[in-house]
Amino acid sequence: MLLKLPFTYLIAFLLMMWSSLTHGQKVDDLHIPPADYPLPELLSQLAAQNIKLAYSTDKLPRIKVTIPHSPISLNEVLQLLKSHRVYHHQVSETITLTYKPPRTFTLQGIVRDAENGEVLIGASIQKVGTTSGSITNNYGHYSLTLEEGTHVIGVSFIGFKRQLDTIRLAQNLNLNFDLQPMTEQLTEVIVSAKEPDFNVESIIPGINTMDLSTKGQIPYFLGEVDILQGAALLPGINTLGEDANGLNIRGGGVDQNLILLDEATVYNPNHLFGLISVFNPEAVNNVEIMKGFVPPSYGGRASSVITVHQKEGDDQNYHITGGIGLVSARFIAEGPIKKEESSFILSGRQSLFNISLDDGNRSSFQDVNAKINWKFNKRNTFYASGYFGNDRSQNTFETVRNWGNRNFSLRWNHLHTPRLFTNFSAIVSQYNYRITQPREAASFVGNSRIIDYTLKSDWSFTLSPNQHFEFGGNLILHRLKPGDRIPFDEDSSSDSLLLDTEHGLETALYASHETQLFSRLKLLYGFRFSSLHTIGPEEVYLYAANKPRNDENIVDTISYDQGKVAQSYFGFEPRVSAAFRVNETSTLKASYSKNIQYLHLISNTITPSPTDIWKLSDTHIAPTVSNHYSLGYYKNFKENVWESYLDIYYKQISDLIAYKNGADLLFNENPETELLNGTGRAYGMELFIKKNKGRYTGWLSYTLSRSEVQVAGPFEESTINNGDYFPADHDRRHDISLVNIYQFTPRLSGSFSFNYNSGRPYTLPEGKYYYEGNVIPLFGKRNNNRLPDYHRLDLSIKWEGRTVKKDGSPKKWRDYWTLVVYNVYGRDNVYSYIFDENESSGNTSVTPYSIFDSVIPAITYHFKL
Amino acid sequence: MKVSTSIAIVILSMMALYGCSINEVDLGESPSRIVVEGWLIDQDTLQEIRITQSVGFAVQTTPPSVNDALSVKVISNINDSYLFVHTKDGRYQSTRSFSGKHGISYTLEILLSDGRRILSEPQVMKSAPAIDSLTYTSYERISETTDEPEIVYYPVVFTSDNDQSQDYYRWKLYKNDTLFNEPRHIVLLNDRFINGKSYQNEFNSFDYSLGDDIKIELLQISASGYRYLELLKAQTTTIGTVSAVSPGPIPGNLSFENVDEEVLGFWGAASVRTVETNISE
Repeated sequence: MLLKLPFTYLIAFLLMMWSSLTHGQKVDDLHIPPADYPLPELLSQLAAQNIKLAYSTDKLPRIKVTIPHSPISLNEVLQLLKSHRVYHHQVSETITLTYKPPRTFTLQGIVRDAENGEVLIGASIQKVGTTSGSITNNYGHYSLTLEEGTHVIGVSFIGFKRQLDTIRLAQNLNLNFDLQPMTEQLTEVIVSAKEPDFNVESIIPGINTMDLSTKGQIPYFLGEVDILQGAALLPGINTLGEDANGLNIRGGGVDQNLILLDEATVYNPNHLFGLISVFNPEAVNNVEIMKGFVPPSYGGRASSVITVHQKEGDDQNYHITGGIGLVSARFIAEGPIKKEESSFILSGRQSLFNISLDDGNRSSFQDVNAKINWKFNKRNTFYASGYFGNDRSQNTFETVRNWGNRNFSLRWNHLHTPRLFTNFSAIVSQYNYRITQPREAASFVGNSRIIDYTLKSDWSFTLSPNQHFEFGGNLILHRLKPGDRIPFDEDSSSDSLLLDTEHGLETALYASHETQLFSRLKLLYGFRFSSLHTIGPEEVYLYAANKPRNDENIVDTISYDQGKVAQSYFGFEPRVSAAFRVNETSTLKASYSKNIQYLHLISNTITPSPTDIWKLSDTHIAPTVSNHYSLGYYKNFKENVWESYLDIYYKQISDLIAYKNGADLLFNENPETELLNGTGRAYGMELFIKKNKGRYTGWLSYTLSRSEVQVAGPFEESTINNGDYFPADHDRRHDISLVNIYQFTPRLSGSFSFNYNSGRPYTLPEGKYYYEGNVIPLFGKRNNNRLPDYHRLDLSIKWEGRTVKKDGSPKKWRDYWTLVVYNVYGRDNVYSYIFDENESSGNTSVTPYSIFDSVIPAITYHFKL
Repeated sequence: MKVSTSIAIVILSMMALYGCSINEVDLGESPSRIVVEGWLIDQDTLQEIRITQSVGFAVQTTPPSVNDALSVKVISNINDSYLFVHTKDGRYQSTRSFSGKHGISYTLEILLSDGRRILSEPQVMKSAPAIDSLTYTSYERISETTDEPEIVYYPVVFTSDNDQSQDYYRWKLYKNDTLFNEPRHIVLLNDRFINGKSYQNEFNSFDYSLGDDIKIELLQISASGYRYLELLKAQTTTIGTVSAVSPGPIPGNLSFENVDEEVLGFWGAASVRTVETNISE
């Protein structure tokens, strides 16, 4: 040991030894009672016994030193101090103490699935027996700074065997981990946390992750594994009904969720008008839903963030995977382009039949995902990924509607130093729809499109195991074409209408700091500074003051030339989350997020349609702002086999968009005349209990919530329900989901899910009258009643083919069948009521309307080669 | 919890829930409102206006009519005045035949027996364009009743928009002299995209069979009349479906003088053109 000390310390040590011998200081008669002493107290004890010491208090470590016996020699005490890296040297009779902190080095690398090379997002890397640890980021990268020396590192991820490695850290080290999936027991958890104790370890409350592993599958409608359906079984997440686009998260509207597919915005997450989601489960690695606290690196929506990461493809072996069900056929091809350096994945889905959703309408869809990655070296990895989706719906009279998302992103991961990680992204996101109407009086083709060009950079810096910084920014150029209407053909009488394209530049800078205060308190705080600038060419209508905003009250028009800024909004969005570790298995978490949304889905129907348009905030439409508070208690049991949480939240939303009765939004040059301004509030409690491991897994989710809206404009026509708060369309008081999965044999598993919701609000007529012989409901206050409660049971059975041949060698061809029974007891859940007159009796009737009113079985087949 | 226990709990819950009947809708009483309907047309005929009252939604009776209005009259901006008298079930008929005149503005004035006065917003009678021709075409579909293929005919009309901006049209279709009268049969068209042009209108949501008589009326109406019918159609045909609009009151063009109470319905002026044909081989 001495040889490794710097020369000065060696000299000091020799001098001290010489000094103690020659000066004859009393070295054997220190009377310090045996005990653990905080260092300052021990030094006081020494001083009391006439030992002359020199030291700087604020540079000494906060340690305890154990005095083993009394009396004790000064030499022994000094050696004890040295073992704590407190060194000494003596000049004359004064002993000078100096502390030399240990050197630290950084361990960094990637954690992957050993079977297919996919990165594992959210895996835990921890120094065993301590709280020092790190979690892999969205690219599977981790960075952990530790003291010089030998450490035992544990790497864990749910569903994988924990890996322990002993490392000798004497310099910065690049170390990748390949985790082996568990096979000997059922560990597949469909909606899972990341690392085993993520529930209590994570600082972020209200976060759910989904592993779309098709093993141990929960029942999905028509057997199609589906992210959005799975999400709706989690607390705080709901939909308006079975055939409704989008998710309502913690009382927010469907446009208040930022949905990212490999960082590219997805504007419409559904195929088939809401029946299934656009994400091909075969191509998805990881899904994360942030419904409470939104980290500062994300922004632009008022309620939540859903990130979907596509798989990267096996970089060692080629595979073909496929499946066929009642709705679609799908395939996935993956493999190395250059082994362990570059890989690709290509997947696609095609609906099998022209599905008839209502009379005369035939619908179909397809989507393609592709991604390649190139690990250029240990410091640089490049990704290119794309998505193309399309839906088509046609009726008997050749009216055709097409819509779809198209995304493309290029990303570059760069490791500047072992502690500094950067991602640069260039992204194009597009959503468009097209309506072809050949048989109308003015036959036409209509187009609408939103396209974003995004540049962003995200940096993360790990100063020490307990000090982590993230910062970065993004620049998004939005181009929105609200609607072009052109004649269908040369015989069409229709005029052309080309609405002005909207341009907006959305920017954001963010920074956050995650730190550990004391031993039990973790804090993540930061901000996001965002802005929106709407850019010309643009015409802004000005309306008469103190009059309703309608066409008749336009008093002037201001024209902005190309490139001129018409309107700017700036927003400061503070975010803070704190986690107090009550004990090893439980954590108390509190958070506050402010989120600003500059882009809005404009829809005059209760459930959004694929042909609704997006609209930027502008002179007349202010950004939507939400303030979200949450407090939760998170607890794991039985070594993380069970996890649970109880979270309460309150969300206040201002400048919410509402609509006038009968708002006409299609091809509207000034849609602001049809919009109203409202405020919203949502609050509730979420309870979640889940079993992660074993033959039996599953969870119980319960949400008690309210979501209310207030529209109190200055005029009668801009006020709803007298300006009082009323329940939002998606308000649900109680929401219970129970999911159970059971592995009967290694090849046979079964599951069921049960869902119970309080009925959502609807508007009951206050009366009726007749006009031209027809009964007309007389509506008064909006959402003044509730539909009957909703409940449904689904079953799923999965039967796997043999995985080994008769001679015991593993089969290359793996396959399984899934049988799903949706709505097992044929519940006729009421989606809405239709108010009309019974044709035969002439009596007024209230007819319940259901999307599905019977048992719906489905069978699917999957294979992997 | 043991698996068997949890499954048992769920199954018992299912049974309990399955036994739950769907909520009975509680339709409360609502205050009665006056409802006025009628269209003044540019045909020399006995014009008609109807006055009824709204009732609670669950009330299964014919709507109560207002038979005792003290006066019902239509006044023009050139000081013509036309009196209406009650005939039956709240129907008031003009005391003489008359035709609305193009370019003239008309107002309806009703004095109820309790002394309250109802006034309409003025409605200008425009001249509807002539219908150039009426024909029909067909398509084949599977019959809902017999599951056999059947030929369905529907009308196609050729006409022109008035050579002026902001024209609003309503189309009424008859089969064998019976009006397609359901709200889903309200056909509306404005000239935003066809201003001043000839066009053809295909009525493919109407079913005719071989041998049927087709009669089509083209009504030129006001912007407010168009808006009223558009809202009325949306409120009566979409609510309850997946493409429902938010329910709300349908503002008309009538109001009480000095009384803060809404008057339901709409009274308008419409210029009418008619064309007829018969579907033959």
